[in-house]
Amino acid sequence: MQNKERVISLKKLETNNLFRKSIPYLGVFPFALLAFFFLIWPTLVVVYGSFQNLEGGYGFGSLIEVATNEKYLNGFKVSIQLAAYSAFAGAVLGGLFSWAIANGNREGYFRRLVLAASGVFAQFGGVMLTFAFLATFGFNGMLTILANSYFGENILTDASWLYSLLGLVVVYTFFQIPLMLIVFLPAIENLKPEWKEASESLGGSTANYWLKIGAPILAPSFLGALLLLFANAFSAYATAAALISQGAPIVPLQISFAISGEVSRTNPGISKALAVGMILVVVVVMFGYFKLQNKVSKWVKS
Amino acid sequence: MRNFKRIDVWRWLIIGFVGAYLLIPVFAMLEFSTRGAPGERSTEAWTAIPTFPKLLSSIFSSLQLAVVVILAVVFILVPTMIWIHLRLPHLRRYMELLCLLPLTIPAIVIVVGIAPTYRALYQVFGSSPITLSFVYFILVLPYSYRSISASLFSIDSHTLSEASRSLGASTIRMIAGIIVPNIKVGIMSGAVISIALVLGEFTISNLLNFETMQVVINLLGKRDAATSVAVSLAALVFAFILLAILPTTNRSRSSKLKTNRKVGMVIK
Amino acid sequence: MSAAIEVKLIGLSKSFGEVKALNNFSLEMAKGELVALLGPSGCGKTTALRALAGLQPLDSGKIIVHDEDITNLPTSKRNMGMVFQSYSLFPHMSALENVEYGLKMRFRNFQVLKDRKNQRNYWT
Repeated sequence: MQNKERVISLKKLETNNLFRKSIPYLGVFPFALLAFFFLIWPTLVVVYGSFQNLEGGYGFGSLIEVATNEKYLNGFKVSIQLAAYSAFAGAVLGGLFSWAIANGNREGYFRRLVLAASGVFAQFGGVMLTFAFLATFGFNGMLTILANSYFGENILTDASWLYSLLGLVVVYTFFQIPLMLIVFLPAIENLKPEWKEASESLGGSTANYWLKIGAPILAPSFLGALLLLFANAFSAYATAAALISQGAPIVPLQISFAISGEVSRTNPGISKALAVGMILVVVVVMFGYFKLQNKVSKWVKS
Repeated sequence: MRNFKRIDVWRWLIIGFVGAYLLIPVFAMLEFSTRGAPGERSTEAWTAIPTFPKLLSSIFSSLQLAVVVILAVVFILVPTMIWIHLRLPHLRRYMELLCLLPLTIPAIVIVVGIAPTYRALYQVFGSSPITLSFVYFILVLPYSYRSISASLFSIDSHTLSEASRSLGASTIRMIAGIIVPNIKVGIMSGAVISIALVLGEFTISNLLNFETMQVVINLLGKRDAATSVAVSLAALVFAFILLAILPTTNRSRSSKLKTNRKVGMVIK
Repeated sequence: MSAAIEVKLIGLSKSFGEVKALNNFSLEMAKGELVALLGPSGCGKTTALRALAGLQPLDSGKIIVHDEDITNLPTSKRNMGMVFQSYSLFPHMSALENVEYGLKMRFRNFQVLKDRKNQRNYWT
């Protein structure tokens, strides 16, 4: 009995000395410090600050204002629309693109280049993205000029569409597609070719396969990716800021106005209340995403 | 040469359409930034880049930032992850949650909450954009964590660590000499994504009034669109070349060499 | 006393790059016959079987079943059962659904499906 107590395992420290027990935790200290001050603390500041009121008082005033004021509600509505449309477009186009890439040469250069390009495009800063689209569809953009010279006056001539919700959706989809490829390609590649073969040898056609096997297996990953795309677009700020979009007053823009404008002086809680609203939306979405990921990992293990 | 099946037609149609969507704007950037007299091409916008001092210094700052962030990833994130993986496995769930949190908390929200912290940092570090490395480290967490953890899970780190310990390696030697070389791929992949993220980041640097490359490009865009477009294109191409040449995926190699490495390590 | 020849593989050839997996391979199988292909790994057993099932396109050769040339017939129409080396079970379906799948594909008649389902009790 006594000998058992003296056995020390390599993996766990079985000692009653609290001090000795906590030494391994020192290893994570630097990271924990950074995570706390630059992630946890700001979040707490935001949540705490959302309870700030006009004239520096405390209460639910700011939160109520954000939840009821037409202007802010519209901001959320537009934000959600923009995120939803671009996520959907990105998911569909990106999904098809993933399928196309997955069916190609897995060791080839083409695939490697495509993945590299996707990595860059997905992180492509909003500012650079805006300039790229202005260079294409802006008043002096390449396609605008081309279309004008070939067709005369046409839908592209008035480039102000770029600044509306439609324009933002088109621009956002540009970085949603590569993101979809990065997130969804592994899922498509996990479709074992044996399944298609098994289905065929059992008499199922290609349509049967996709309907009964391919789609159900891919569904959780697809939905998860869709949610991720939504969260990504919803959180985006740079593109809209660079376009100074009047036509689409999304929440991140409203937050930036609130921080740097008059609003912050009279009611510092507004920007934080808006931020809390954003957190709520994204948390709900990401929660769904994680749930779906867990479902997928069950199958991958088989 | 395989026979052309119907499926290939669809494949290339899709690739063509998506490729056009993604590449036309890039091509337009090239076109836009090389416009000269009517009917001619000119490299004026490009050669003008060095003439904007703020631009050059901001590019330099952003590059430095990227390097600092990568150093932080390699010297803080990686050891922490390895440490938790080996010694504090019960903390792994929390670490994972923490590292995925920045995906859930948008940058714009972080900016709102981090302003007071940065006011304090300003006192200590001044207005150098390098102070952004703290918050940027947090921003790259989701991506770096994912690629490093995928690598960590694909090797049998417990066996490796116990084998090296039994052969007399110190903890640091084990981490640096045995584990890290085996997860190099994950680290590289995380590092490269970090570079792309740092070079592309605008939200936080803009709202905290730091002059990073993106912020300056944005300011410049109002005065000289062509040069802004030129710099953007250059950054894009630079990041692309990096991602394309660095070995970031190792699938076929790792499955063949994994067992050999493991055995080799133990025997050595 | 030779039984009728049901399956003929005639001159099957398939190369993967430089590797010739099947080199003018021919085989005849009679009705009710149990045939086993034996050989070291890489000798082409799997390729031959997959070709028979229609999962492997051939460079040249013919496959005749019941006097019908099925060389160009897609797998789903060949009406052959294949048990895969790696099981190939559909992960999102239960065991029953996996079994039902083949029946559903071949027998659109639901009565037959029900009868077969009842037969299942025979096996368990």
